[in-house]
Amino acid sequence: MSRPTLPPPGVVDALALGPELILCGTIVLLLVGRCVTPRFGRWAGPVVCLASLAGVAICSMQLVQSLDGVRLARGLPHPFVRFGPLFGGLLEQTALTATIRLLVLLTLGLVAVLCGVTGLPRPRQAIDFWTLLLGATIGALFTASANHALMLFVGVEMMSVPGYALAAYFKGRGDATEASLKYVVYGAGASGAMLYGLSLLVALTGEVTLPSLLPAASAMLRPDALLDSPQTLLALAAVLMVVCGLAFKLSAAPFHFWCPDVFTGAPAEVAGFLSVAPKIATVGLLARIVLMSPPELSQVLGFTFSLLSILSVVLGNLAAYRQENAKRLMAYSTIAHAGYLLLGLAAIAMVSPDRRPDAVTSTLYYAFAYVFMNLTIFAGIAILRGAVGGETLSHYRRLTKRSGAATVTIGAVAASCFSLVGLPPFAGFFGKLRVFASAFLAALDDPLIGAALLASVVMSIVSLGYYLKLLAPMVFGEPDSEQRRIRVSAESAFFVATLAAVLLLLLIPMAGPLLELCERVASSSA
Amino acid sequence: MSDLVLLSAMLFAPTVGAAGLLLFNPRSHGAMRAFAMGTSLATLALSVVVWFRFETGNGAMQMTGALPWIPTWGVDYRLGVDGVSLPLILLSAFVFVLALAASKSIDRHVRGYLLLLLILETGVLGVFLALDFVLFYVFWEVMLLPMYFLIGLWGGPRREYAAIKFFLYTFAGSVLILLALLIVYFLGAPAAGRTFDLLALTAAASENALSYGWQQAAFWLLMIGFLIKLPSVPFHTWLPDAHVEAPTPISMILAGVLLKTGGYGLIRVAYPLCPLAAEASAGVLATLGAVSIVYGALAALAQTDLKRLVAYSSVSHMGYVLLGLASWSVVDGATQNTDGWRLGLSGAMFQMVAHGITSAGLFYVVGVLYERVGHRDLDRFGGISRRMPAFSALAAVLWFASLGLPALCGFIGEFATLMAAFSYSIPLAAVACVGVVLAAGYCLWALQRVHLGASYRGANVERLVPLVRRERLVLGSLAALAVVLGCAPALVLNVTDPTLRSIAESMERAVASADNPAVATTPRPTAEPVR
Repeated sequence: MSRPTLPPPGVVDALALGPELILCGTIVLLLVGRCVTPRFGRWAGPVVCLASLAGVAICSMQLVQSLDGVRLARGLPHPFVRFGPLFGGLLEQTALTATIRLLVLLTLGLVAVLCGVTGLPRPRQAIDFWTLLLGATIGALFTASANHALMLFVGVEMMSVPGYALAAYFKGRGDATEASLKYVVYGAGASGAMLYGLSLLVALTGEVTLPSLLPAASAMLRPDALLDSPQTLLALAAVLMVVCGLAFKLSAAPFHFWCPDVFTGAPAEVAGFLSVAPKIATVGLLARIVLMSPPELSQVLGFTFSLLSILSVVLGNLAAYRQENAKRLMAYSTIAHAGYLLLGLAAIAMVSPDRRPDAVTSTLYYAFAYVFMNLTIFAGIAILRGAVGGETLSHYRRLTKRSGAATVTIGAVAASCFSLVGLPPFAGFFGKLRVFASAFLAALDDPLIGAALLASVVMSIVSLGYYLKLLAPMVFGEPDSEQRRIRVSAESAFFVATLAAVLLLLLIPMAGPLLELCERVASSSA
Repeated sequence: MSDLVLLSAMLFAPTVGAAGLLLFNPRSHGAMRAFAMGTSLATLALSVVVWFRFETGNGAMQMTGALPWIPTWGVDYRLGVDGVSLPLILLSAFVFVLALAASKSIDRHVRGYLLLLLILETGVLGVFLALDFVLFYVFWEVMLLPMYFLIGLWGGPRREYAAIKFFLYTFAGSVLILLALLIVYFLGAPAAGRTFDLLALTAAASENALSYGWQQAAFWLLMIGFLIKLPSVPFHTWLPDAHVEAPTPISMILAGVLLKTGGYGLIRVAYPLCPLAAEASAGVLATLGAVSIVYGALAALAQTDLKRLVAYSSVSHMGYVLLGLASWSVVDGATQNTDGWRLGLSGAMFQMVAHGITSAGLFYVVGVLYERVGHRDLDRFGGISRRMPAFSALAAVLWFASLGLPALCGFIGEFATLMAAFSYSIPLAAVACVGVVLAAGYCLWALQRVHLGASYRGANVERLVPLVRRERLVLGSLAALAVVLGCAPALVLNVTDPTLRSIAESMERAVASADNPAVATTPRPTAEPVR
C-alpha cells in the first residue's frame, strides 16, 4: 500500500482547528437556514448541541493523541492533530489547550441542552441568540490557544463582545439593559488597558509571539533597576495592564463590578455560560503565559495573582451574604471561585519549576470540577425560574416534596453547593485540596501566597453560610399558602441530576484517573 | 483480602440499604422501617463477626487491607481495625440499631429520614475504619451532611438555626484538619516517600519526621478540629442547641456516636502524628478537660429543660476523655509515672464507650417522656415512677451510671482518668473531682424532680402509658450494657489496652529521641521538605 501524500501545512493547521471551523460553519448554517425557512429557529438549539458535541469529540481525539502519541492512520499523523505553533505562531496547540478547549466546548453543549430543557430563546430570537453564543465560544477557544499578542487581544474581544449583547437578552427589562451597558463600559475600559499594555510590550521588546515576547519582557524586569530604568517601570506597567484586562474576564476583584449586575440581568442560562466558558479559557491562557515566563516575570505574575486572589476570595465570599437574588449570590460565588483559581495560578507561578506540573494539575482539576459545579447551579436556577416564577430567594419556599422532579433538582443544586464549598464526597473537595496543597508548597518559599492560602481556607468556611442561605429556604422553608405542586419537567430534572452525578462520579471512583489525566496534560505542557 | 471485603461489607452495608430504600413505595412506611432495621442489624452482625475475628491482646492494627484509589497522589482505600476502633465500631453499630428502633415516632418523609440515617452510619463507621488520612477526612465530612439535614428537617422549632450552627462549627473544624493534613503530608513524610497512610505517618512521627514548630501548628489545627466535635469548652456551644432541636433518635446518635469521633480523632490522628506538640501542650489540654468537666456540670445544674441538661452533662463527661489523654508529663525525655498516663488513656477510651451507652440511654429516656407528655420542663415533672414504674427503674440505672456509681459503666472511666490526673497534677485533679460531685448533684436532682414525688398530674397525664415492648427493649438493653460493662470492664479494657500501649510507646519514643523539645525547635535534616 502506497503512502498517501500529506496535505499542505496550511491545510493541516486549519484541520487542527476542527472545532472552531465546525462552530463557524454552524453560524453560517444558522444564518442561511433563517433565510431558507423562518421556522429554522426551533432547530437552532439541537444544531448547536450537535456542533459542540462534534467539537468535543475532535478535542478529545486531539487530547488522547497528544498524550499517547497514537497515530491513527498508519504512520501518518492524524489530520486533526498537529502540535506546537499553528499558522506561523498565531495559535498554539498543546495538550493543555486541547483540554481547555474541550471544557469550553462541553460548556457550550451543556448550555445548549439546558436551553432545550428550559425553552429559553423563543424560536424567533433563537438564531441571534445562538449566533452570539457560538461567537463567544469561538472567541474563548482562540483565547485559550492564543500564541500571539494580536491573537490574544482578538480572542479576548471576540469572547466578550457577544456577551455584551447576550446580557441584554431580556431587552425590555431595565436591569438587563443596565447590565449590558455596564458590561460594555467596563469591558471597553479593560480591553483598552489590555491593548495598551500589549502594544507597550510589543514596542518595548520588538516581539509579537508570546514565547519570544514574554522572555524579552522578563529580561527587562530587573528588580534591582526598578526605579532607575524607565524601561523596567514601563514593562512592569504593561504586564500589569495585560493582567488587569484578563482579570476582568476572570471577574477577579477589584475588576468584578460588572459580574453581579450582568448575572442579575442576563438569563440564568447565559449567566451560567458566562460564569464558566470565558473563565476557563482565561485560566488556560494565564496558565500558558505563566509556563512560558522566565522566573522574573513569573515572580511578578505570582505576586499579582496572589493579591488578586486574596481580594476576590474575601470580597466575593463576604458580599454574597447580602444578596437576595440567587443569580446575584452566585455571581459573588463566581468571584470567590475566581480567587481560588487565581490561587492555583499563583502556585504555578511561584513553585520551583520541577513542581510546576503538579500545580498545573491542581488548577486543571479544579477547572474541571468548576465547570460542572457552576453549570449545575445555574441550570437549577433556570429550571426553578420556570417552576416558581422567579429567581429571588423568597421564591424558593420549601420546594422539595412538591413534586418528585423538583426534589431531584434541588438535590442536584444542593450537591453542587456543597461541592463549591469543598465538601467531600464531591468533586470540589479534591479540587480545593489539590489547589491548597500546591499553594501550601509554594507558600513554604513565599509568604504572600501563604497569606492567600490562609484567606482561601478561612473564606471557604465563611462561604458555607451563604450557600446554606441559598439552600435552606428550598429545603427547610415554610411552604407558601397555596401549596400548589410546582411543575418541573422530568427531562430537566434528569439533566441537572446527570450534571450533579458527574460531581459525584468525578470523585468516588474516577478521581484517580481524572487526576492522572490532568497530570499527564500538565507534564506534557509544562 | 478477605478481611478488606469483610470490613468493606460492614462499611457499605448501610449505603446499599439506603439505595435499596429507593425501590420502596414512599408510602409504605412500615416496610421501609423494617428494611432499614434489617440493614442496620446486618451491619451489627458484620461488626460482631469482625469482633470474633479480632485477635484480642494484639496491639497492632489488624485485618488491614488497601486498594489504590488515587495512585498519583498516594491516596489509598485503606481499612483496618485495632483495639481503639473496634469498641467504637461495635458501639456505633449497636446505637444505630437502637436509634432506628426509636425512630417509630418519626412519621414525616420517612424514606428520606431512613436514607440519611443509613448514610450517616456509613460515614461514622468509615471514620473508625479508615487508615488513610484522606479517606478518614472524606468520611469525617460524609457525617456532616446527613446530620445537617436530619436536624434541619426533622428537628424542633429552632431546627434551622441549630442545624446551621452545627454545620458551621464542625465544618470550620474540619477545614482546620484539612490544613493539618497538608502539613503532615508534605513535611512529615516518612523516609520512604510521601503517603497518607496513617500508620506510616505515625511511624514517621515517632522518629520526629516533622519539626517541632510544624508539629505545634499541625497539632493545634487538629486539636481545634477534634475539640469542636468532642466537644470541649470553649467550642461546645453548638451541642446544646443541636441536641435540643434534634429528634430523639438523632440525639442518641449525636451523643452516643458522633462525639466519639472527636475523641477517636485525638487518639488516632492528633496525638500519634504530633507527639512532641502533644507533650508540650499537655497542661493546656488537661486544663481544658478539667474546665469542661466543671463547666458542663455547672451548666447542667442550671437547666430546666431536661434535654438540655443531658446535653450539658455530655460536655462534662467528654471532658474526662480530654483530661485522661492529656495527663502526660515528661521529664528529661522519659514519661513520669508511666502507669498513670496508661491509666488515663484507657480511662479516656472506656469513658467514650460508657458515655456512648449512658447518653444514648438518657436521651431516649427524655424522648420517651417527651413523646407522652409533650414537654421537657423539669419544673413540671415529678412522680413519673408512680405511673411508669418499669420506665423509672430503667431510667434510674442510666442516671446512676451517668453519675459514676461503682458497678455501673460510668464509674470506671471517671475513676481511671481521675487517678491519672492525680499523678499528673493534684490541683487539676481536685478541680475535676468537684465535677464528680456536681454530676451526682444534677443527676440525682433530675432523677428526683422527674421520677419521684407525688404522682404526676401535669399536662397530658392520660398519655402516660407504660412502656411498650420496643421501648422496653431499647432501654433494657442499654441499662443491661451499663451494668455489664460496669461489672466487667475487662471486656473493653482487654481490647483497648494493648493498642493504647503501642500508641503510647510510639509517642514516648518520639519524645525520648527528641530529648528536650525546647531544643528541637530547629528542624531536623529529615524534616526538610523533599523537593
